[in-house]
Amino acid sequence: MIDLYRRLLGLLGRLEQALVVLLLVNIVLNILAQVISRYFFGKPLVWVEEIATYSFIWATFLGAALALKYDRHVRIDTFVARLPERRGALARALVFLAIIALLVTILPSLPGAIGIEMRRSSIALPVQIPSGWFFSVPLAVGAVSMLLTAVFKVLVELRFALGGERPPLIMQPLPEDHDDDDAVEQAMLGDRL
Amino acid sequence: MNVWIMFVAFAVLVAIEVPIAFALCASAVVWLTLESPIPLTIVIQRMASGLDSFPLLAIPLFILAGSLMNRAGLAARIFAFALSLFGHVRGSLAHVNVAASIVFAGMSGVAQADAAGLGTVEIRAMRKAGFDPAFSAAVTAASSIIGPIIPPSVIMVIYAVLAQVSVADLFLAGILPGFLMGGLLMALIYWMARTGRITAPTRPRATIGQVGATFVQALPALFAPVILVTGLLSGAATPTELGAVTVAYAMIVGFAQRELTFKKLHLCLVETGITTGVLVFIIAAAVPFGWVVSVNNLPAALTSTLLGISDNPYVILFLVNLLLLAAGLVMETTAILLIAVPALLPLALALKIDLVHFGIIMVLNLLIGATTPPFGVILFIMMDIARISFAQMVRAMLPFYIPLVAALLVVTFWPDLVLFVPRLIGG
Repeated sequence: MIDLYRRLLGLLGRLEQALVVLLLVNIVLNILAQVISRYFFGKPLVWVEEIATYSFIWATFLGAALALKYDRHVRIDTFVARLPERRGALARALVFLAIIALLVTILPSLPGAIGIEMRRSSIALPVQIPSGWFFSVPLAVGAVSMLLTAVFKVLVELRFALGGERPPLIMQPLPEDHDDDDAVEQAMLGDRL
Repeated sequence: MNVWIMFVAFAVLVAIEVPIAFALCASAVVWLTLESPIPLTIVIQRMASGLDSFPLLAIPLFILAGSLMNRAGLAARIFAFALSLFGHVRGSLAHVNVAASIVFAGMSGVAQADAAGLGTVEIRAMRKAGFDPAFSAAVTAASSIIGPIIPPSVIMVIYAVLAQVSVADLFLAGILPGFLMGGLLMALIYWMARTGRITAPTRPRATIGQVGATFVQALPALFAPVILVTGLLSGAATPTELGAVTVAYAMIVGFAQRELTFKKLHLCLVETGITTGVLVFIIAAAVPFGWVVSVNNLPAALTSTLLGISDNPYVILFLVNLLLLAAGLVMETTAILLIAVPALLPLALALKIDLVHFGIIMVLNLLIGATTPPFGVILFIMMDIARISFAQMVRAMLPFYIPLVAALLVVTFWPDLVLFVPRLIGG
């Protein structure tokens, strides 16, 4: 059961990851298009900035949900790492309970926020799209995804705290940022100096 | 309406290791539900619309540029060039480390990219050459914060948006302080090597031909900051546009030199997406917190308290520095910035302190905070790479606070140093 839950979250995570990548590419391309159209054709494209900004808001909230699955949100390490393993799991479960409490409190206020925004429309886009789609909707989508992740985390951490299996990872960590040995060899070109 | 409930809730949540973003938002929600008649909807709605800002878009772009630079092997080329220039100077690879950071800073916007990417190259090379790992880690930590002082800089974008000043001015204002920090760090390293406090095996002087060869190799990386600064100085493009141009440039160079593959590019994009999700989400999550602070008139109260102590701008700036350094000991950089900028702006305005100058002071101060125990993020990254204990890391770090704080004091009390470059376009 829990394994199915983990796999579904992993699937959701991969979907979010693919969307975030597309959104970032979209931001880069739009802004480049803006630069090019201004320099080479002498006329700025007004709606380009708006598309880029909306992509950015979506990328932020999807990225935040994704970061929770990778366990990458910044926290200050105080004592949990020093606890015995299973008690540490209890402390982590408490953290995710706090996150659940927050999300459950704010989620009911989001339909209201979306409702207000739906009455306004995007400013410069060639088509009329209610602005809620670019503000509180991404926030709500991110919040729901984070809620699903946090519930999973509480379940697996508690299971571990009570003597069960070690909590599984939702997403495998990304490979390191650099090709270590290559980079050092190259930097130590110096040996030939 | 006791607003201190919010601060207590925040401290408790952070202490039990709730991620900063969630702790910021949750503590504000605690106050809003317990103490205030204002509907939650009104405040929550501001979270997403707070991100509706074109300057903020520079954040993912400069994170992506730094990530591409690491994965496209540009960091190593910069290092090799710096090595040919400074390898023979007393202090050798330690100077190389600082110099490489200064160059890398011209394309990277976050200290973490500098510490983790270039830092790995630097620490491994220093170990190979016989340097003490703890010392190497400390040099890398200290020099990595030059990254966000020299443009581009993600944290400066956040300050600029909060304080409503020009990102371009702030970027330009960071150039001279960045070189000053590098110079002071190099002076300390030279002195430490000279007095035998560190073992620093020097290398034979590189020939002109070798310098030339590594220069040509590093040229594409060296050209990126030139594009950025020219763009900023000429006002031809906004910092956000320059971010996209830098990304395109890094990609072209990476692909042309066959160092970048589509697989690596995809990894860079995923990495950037996660970092954006962490960092920018903190900005959104801090919106309700900032809103509660301002409806309770806390900035005004803070301003009158501090002005009650003195109305000399320099005394106040000194106090602000102490306050921020203290906050930097226990809190995370972005979170302090998000809370402190709105709280301190009225004070800066009342004393007619230039907001660009004020921004450089705050950013430099908070970056030093990211290298201080017990919670400095950069220390943890370095410990990990150098495989040393926290105690070793902190002990090796101690001398480096002298040049860093000295740079902070110079920047604080010599506004002309900071404002010289932005004035070149102002006039």
